[in-house]
Amino acid sequence: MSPFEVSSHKLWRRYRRSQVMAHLKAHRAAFVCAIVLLLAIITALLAPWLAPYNPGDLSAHDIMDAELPPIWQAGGDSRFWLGTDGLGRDLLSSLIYGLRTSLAVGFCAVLLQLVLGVSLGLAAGYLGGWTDRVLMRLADLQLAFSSLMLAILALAIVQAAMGAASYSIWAPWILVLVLGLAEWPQYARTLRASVMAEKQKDYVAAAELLGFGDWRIMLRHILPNTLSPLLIISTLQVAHVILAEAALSFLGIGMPYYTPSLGGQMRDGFEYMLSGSWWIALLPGLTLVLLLLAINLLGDWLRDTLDIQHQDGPSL
Amino acid sequence: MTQPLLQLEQVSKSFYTRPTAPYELFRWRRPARLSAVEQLDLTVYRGETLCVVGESGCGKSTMARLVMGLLHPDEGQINYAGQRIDHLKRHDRLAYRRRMQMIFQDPYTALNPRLTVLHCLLEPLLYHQPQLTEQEALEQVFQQLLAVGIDPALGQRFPHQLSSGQRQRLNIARALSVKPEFIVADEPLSALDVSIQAQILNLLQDTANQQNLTFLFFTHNLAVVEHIADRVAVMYEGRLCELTSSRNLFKHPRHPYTQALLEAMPQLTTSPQQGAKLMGDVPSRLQRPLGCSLQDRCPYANERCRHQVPTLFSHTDGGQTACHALQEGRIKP
Repeated sequence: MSPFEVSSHKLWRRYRRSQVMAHLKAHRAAFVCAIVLLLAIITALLAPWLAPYNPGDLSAHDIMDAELPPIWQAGGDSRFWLGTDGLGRDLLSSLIYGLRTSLAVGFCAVLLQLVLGVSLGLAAGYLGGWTDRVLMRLADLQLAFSSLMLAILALAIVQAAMGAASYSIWAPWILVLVLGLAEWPQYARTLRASVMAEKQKDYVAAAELLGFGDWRIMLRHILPNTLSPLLIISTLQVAHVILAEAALSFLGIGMPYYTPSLGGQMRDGFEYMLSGSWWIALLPGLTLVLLLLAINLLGDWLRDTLDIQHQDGPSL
Repeated sequence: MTQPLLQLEQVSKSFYTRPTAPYELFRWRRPARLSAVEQLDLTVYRGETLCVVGESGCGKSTMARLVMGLLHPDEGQINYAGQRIDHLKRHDRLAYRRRMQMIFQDPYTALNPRLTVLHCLLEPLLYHQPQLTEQEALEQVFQQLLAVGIDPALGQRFPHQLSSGQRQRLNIARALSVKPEFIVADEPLSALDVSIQAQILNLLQDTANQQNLTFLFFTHNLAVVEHIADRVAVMYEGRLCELTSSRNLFKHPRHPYTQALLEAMPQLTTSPQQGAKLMGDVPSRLQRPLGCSLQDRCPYANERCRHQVPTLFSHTDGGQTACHALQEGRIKP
């Protein structure tokens, strides 16, 4: 067996025997949360095959089907398990596609935050001096703005500049960009602190004495040892970004109204709330709550596990 | 043993205190200066083992890091093989990096927790010799592991799965992997069990003999000094007190501090007290008195010791001491 690479079979065995699995099994709430999240991700990925209707296909809807209740209610239609919204769209399909939007925006925006925050935090912590000072003051500046306010501002300007038609095509990407750019200091600051702590340790000095370059020391020696805080923030940030996307869509400046997103559906349903069609707003809301709860609990569990077992933590 | 390899000339290094509590920010106070190493003159000759002894906090680790270039001296200069190296930029220093290596005090923090034993040794090897094939590199690593007494079967283990003795062996193997000529060991035994200390010490001594290495060994353990040192430098409060051959130091120590240090060594046979016994405690490093740093504790101290810092002077047998009382003949050498 070559020590340079670990075959995929071995990786899987290592994973099965690893402590992540054992801890996950021992902690029932976390186990359930992991399953919920996994189901949500699979559903989102397979949306076109799982959803009974395509909410984007306007010709498939009939306005006569509008505001039908879920099937367990009186007047429910067997074609629409969870009822329909004000335009006659199947709510279940909208939920599945909405989940897809939310998760995609959440993961992509967090990925952007991660890349930005990690590179800037690593540079600030390792290089120190003026790099550190400038970057951290920039981070302070960024944190002084509410990220939601910044997002509202940016999205409103972009919407006005591009026009509604082209905006609707680019909306998800602009959302990702805005939400990703707004929260990089979360990562940068945490990473900077971890990097500064690791940098004090002798193994970094040893790497320096062996003649390794800055890049190698940063990427191969320091970065892998700061993974656990990064992992924890990432889970919490995914939840945060999904919530922010829902809030922006609820305010009407996120996703365009014909692209289903959980926040947008809640806004639409809000108008029908008083006429008795509670399901249009409530079901997307419940889905959002369930998703965020699962992610947050999983993040908490991850933090606890990695904290207690510092030395023999899961080998990731 | 006549050619100087490393020369420290009047090297000083100070640290400054920082506010430790929020309220200290609002108190106007100049940061206090702690001089860790003061006007140090020391020459290490090629092929010798020089031990630096001293109690905790006397500046041993600072000196080790200064020599390795992990810290930069405030004053003075450091020469290596005739070239000045202390002012070199990182890039220019690379040429010297591989010629000198360091062994750290804590073998655990000195190892990257996410690198296995094999990777820990493969990395420097392949970094400096990228032309090696996988087979050649592995062969060399196995040889390095066997040379320090680690079973190559442990190759896939991570540092936390090793014993502390194995960890220190791995540190030694890593330091030797770039084929250095000069090794700085900063208390390499103090984090180890007594039963393992001897093994590691023998390992260090054997490699030094086999590869003709020059050793700068920092320790507070006099038994270790007696075992391996050619020459000994005694350090107190950031300065050298005595610099002499190992044999002379144990046979007749001159400096009052050295005498007290040897006296404090636990011995199986009780012998009548000969040397000086120190009074009091180590003074605060932040409020350093004028003159000799041993003045409050030394029974021979007089007015001159309180005002003038003693400098090293040579005795007829080649030993050097920094003590006014010895120089004036107030203590019979």
